[in-house]
Amino acid sequence: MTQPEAGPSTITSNSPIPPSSKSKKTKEKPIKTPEPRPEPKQKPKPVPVGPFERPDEEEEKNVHEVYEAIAGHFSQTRHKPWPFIQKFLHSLPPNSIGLDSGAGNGKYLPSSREANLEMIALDRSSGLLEIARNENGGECVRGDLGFRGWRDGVFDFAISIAAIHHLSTPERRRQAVKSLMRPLKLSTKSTYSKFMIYVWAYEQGTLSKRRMGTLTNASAAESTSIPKETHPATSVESSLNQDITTDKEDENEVKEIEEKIQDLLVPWVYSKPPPPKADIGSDSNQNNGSIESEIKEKEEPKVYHRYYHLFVKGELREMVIQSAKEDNYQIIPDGIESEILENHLNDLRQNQQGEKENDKWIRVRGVGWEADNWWIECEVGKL
Amino acid sequence: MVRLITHNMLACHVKNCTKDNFPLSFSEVELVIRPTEENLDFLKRFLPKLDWSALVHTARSLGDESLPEEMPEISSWTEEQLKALHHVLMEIHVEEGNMICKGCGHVYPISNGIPNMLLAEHEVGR
Repeated sequence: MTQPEAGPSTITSNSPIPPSSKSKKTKEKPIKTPEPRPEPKQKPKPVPVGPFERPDEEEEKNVHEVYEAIAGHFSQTRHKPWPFIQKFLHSLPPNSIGLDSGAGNGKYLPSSREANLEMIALDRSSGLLEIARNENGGECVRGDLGFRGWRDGVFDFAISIAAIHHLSTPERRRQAVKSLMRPLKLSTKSTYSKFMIYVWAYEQGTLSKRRMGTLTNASAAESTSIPKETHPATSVESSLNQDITTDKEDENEVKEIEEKIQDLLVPWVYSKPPPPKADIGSDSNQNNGSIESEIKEKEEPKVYHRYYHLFVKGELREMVIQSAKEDNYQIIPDGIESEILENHLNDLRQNQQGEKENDKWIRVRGVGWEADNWWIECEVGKL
Repeated sequence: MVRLITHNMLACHVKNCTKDNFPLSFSEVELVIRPTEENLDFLKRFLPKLDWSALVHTARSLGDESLPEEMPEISSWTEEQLKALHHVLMEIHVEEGNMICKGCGHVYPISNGIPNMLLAEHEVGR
């Protein structure tokens, strides 16, 4: 009930087109007419879902069982590592050892080897781990995101890419963050252990193929601007990331859109051969008569639904900070960048005076939005 | 391919199992030796994190006697010793079998080289 404006009147500060300009010639039509007529071929849409009464059972059904069923097909579509994560891995000291929690088919295992790292793939799905082991050649452990079996202090880094958004309650998500942080080595001097988390964003760019979050709402789709968060300092800052740059204080940028539907069942259309790219740029590779299209079977594709929690701006950071607080970490304030971190830690040590309880700290190295995801990079250490 | 390096980092995580929950003991194992290139820098970096006694006893339970009972001083490692460590940590793969908790008896099966550390929801201690 709080939204005064609707429709395309929202113009954001980084809109490339000045308000006065009416020229439409270069602009593609951003709005898809909402459901012209219900054709049978239509792509299934994400379905909003309420809070689960039994989160573990619902995740079993709406995440784990689905991944087991679609493992092969899923993996065919997820073999390309995201450059952003590769860059993070390459920023780490060679010969570090780390954890990929929710590793799926282990698509970052080759990247980790290229970066001279040892990385262990942890996932709940045995189907995906089989692929990780056979195709990406890595050490695999079957366990869920809340796995607590690692000894303390064994890893130098950890990543969790596109996984924590499958957990259906805030508590379970924080549990996953704590499970990711807990086995990290806490060093008293640089270099500190680092971790990175990636999750799906509620705020979707207009080019997104996902059609959910902001894009579930057609009028919102047009005005969706890419949200911003500050990046205090980061080794992986924005060279790949032109879209989210510079201006920091854009708190009001993201419009409060009607009711935010953050919890969804997202359809996965299962087909045995890799699906020919459905809507965009398909004509370029149609001509060479790929085998896939020929063996395309006539049978109705089966549709599975996976549960997702879409993160709104600020939520990922809040989740990490809250998790760290629950595990008694001191939070290094924003603005303490790498260059002055040591001075700041020395100050904390002076004030600490032998208090052993509270000697863990965490610092957010960067937060940002990239290609429909939120990412956060942090480091942890000990006073 | 549960290597001993991975085994050295894994403890039983059953709810309230805090005594003798590390290291897990192997049983009914099938081993495969897969030679890999030595990376002595990695080993040196990993040494401080290693639970030496767990490694030595686990290696011996699998029939490898090459490591001394006491961990040599970090500065005094010879290349030969590092090579032996490389073999034990990185080249012995447990392909099939079980890892059993000495504390609570929980059995973690290993199949196709992948240890299954999943617990039922009621066994999980958060």
